[in-house]
Amino acid sequence: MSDEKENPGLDERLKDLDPQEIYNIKALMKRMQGGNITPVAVGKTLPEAVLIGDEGSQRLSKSMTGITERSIAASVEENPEALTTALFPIIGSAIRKALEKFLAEFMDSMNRGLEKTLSVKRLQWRYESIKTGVPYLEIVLRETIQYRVEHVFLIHKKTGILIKDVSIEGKTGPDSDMVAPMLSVIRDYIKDSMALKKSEEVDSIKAGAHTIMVEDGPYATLALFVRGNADIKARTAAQEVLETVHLRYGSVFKAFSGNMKPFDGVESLLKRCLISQGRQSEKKKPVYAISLLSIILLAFLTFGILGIVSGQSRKALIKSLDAEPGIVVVSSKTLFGKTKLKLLQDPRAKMAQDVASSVKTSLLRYTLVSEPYLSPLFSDSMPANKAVPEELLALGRKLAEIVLYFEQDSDELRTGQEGAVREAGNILSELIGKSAAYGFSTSVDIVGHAAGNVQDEAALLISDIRAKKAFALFAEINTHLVNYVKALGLGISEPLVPIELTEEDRIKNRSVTFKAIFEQIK
Amino acid sequence: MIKKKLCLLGILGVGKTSLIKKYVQNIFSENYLVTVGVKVDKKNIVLPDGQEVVLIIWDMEGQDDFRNFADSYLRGLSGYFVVADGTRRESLSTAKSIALTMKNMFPNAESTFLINKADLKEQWKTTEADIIELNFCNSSCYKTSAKTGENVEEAFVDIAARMAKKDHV
Ligand SMILES: Nc1nc2c(ncn2[C@@H]2O[C@H](COP(=O)(O)OP(=O)(O)OP(=O)(O)O)[C@@H](O)[C@H]2O)c(=O)[nH]1
Ligand SMILES: [Mg+2]
Repeated sequence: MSDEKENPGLDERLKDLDPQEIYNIKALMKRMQGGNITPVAVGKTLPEAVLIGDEGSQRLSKSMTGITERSIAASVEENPEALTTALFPIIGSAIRKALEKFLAEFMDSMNRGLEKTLSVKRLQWRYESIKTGVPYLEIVLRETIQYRVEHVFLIHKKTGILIKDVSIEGKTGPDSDMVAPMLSVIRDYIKDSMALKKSEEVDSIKAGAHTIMVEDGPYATLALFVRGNADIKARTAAQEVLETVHLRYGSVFKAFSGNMKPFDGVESLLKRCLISQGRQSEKKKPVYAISLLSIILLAFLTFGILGIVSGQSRKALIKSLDAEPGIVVVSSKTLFGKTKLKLLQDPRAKMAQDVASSVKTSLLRYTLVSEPYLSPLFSDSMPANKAVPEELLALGRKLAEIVLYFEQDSDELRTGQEGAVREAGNILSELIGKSAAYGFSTSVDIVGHAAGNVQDEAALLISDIRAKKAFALFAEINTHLVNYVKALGLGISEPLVPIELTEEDRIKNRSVTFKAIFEQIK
Repeated sequence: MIKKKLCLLGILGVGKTSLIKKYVQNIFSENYLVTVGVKVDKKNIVLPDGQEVVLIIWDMEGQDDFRNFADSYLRGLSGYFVVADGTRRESLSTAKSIALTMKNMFPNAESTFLINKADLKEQWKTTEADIIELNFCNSSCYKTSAKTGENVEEAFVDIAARMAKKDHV
């Protein structure tokens, strides 16, 4: 052997080692002498080597920067088109993003200062709600929503055929398949009758309280049905989504033959356009200034007029305010008979005025400065002030985990689910029994779902009969239960799997789930 | 599921709207309401081979002079019916010129002649010779009646099946 020639007596010297060690040393020597680094071998190890070389200090990236820059320059010189085509979708959105970020930061810093106005506004709405009896939430929505994108259509440009549409929950309307072509007809008609140039497109149509905002790409058109006046944010969202659609589905469009299958999953993109915009964002300043002024004015006025407040009633008020769930007294300062109370107030909490009147104190001698905050004492599912006991919540969660699966287009349970039905029934019985002991009344929504991506009557109907079937099954187990459960079909609006990609996903969405609702018995 | 665009062409009052209404809603009315512009309807069908097709059906206004026809209405069609009224001979000759123009504009689209109002056969001014002549310009031809429903479903399903086979719009 060669190593023996070069290292006479090697074996002799190695003989004390164990066989594995001898083998290792020989293998090592062989590799050192071999030195056969072929391009193939390098090619195999290069990617890994690059990764390793770049670990830590990223020396490799740094050393390659110059080469990369030069090769890009060479490529631009040779064929600039290849590069611009590849970069176009990225550059467009990058520029927009940078601009947006700047604007958002700018608005944000302005808004933070103005946020306090909001709390004053909120108190006003509270008052209005009490005065007029209109639900508080409705007033908030009315006052804050400036526009809302209700329906988004992705339309194949050449044929006017609807590819996919998504809409906000509960929105119904004429058949989208018929709306989409009519929309392109209307746009063509307007273009024709106004003798617009070929390059000029009709990009928005106003109809009553709605605006139809249209964005065109080379293959597809995106139409947004907007309630109210959409702003640049909606337009930007539409442009971005359309760009992404072209990027992802460009080749599918190129070979479009009416087949809808390749577009499965595009809904999640379209959903990005379902945005709404509050009224507050731009017009805060004057409101803020005015309310700030009035607070200052009020402070001065009351300070001038009022005498000494009895320390007794002040303490009582602070105590009862602090005891009120959702209100925290941060500080109180009395100066010249005028008390300034700084509060944190959850919008869902009782009004400070109400608390004051309950301890028979007039707020005239107080200046209240409240900051909005979200109190953990309120949970959305429970308007009452008492927390739902953990035991009930745990049962509710257990119930929520149960899913009953159904056959396609049917209210027939898939086989082998009797156990799940029984388990749901048992939990339900336990939940209802235990709730009463805790002073809660618990009801359960049996929610039916449907597979598919169109919220149409068929989807609603099938989800409804599934929920009703589950309801009937409970009635069989325990007739007593029917007073506590309600069946409702939601169609595809709250699917288990939001984006169906496989048949398995669809199977999951042909189902019924449970939602426990806890209410404190007053 | 695939969606395909189908257009109905032919002069005023030959029964384009009635044929669609019969096919989509199974309703017929003697009242004549002139179509202005265009109206879009749709029908979901399952072909004999199990394929699901959504036909997006474009009902065009009847026009005696086809050359004025709005090109934007026809854009992207996969198939079209040229409809004639068996009781009016001039509707047949216009149908022929429409078919010729369409063949030039959309050489790859599927097409069918419909000679409508077959329930009024005794009043037909159309001879078998006319119909045979039509067959030269087109691949298929049906005598239909929107009133009785004769051949209506057949004609739609036949063209839908042919359209569905094409792997372009
Ligand atoms: N008897 C009979 N009458 C028909 C038939 N089809 C249509 N009609 C009548 O013919 C008239 C015109 O029918 P439409 O369907 O409106 O014709 P159209 O081609 O849509 O007309 P335009 O839209 O104006 O071009 C109506 O009065 C229909 O009742 C048919 O098969 N038999
Ligand atoms: Mg008509």
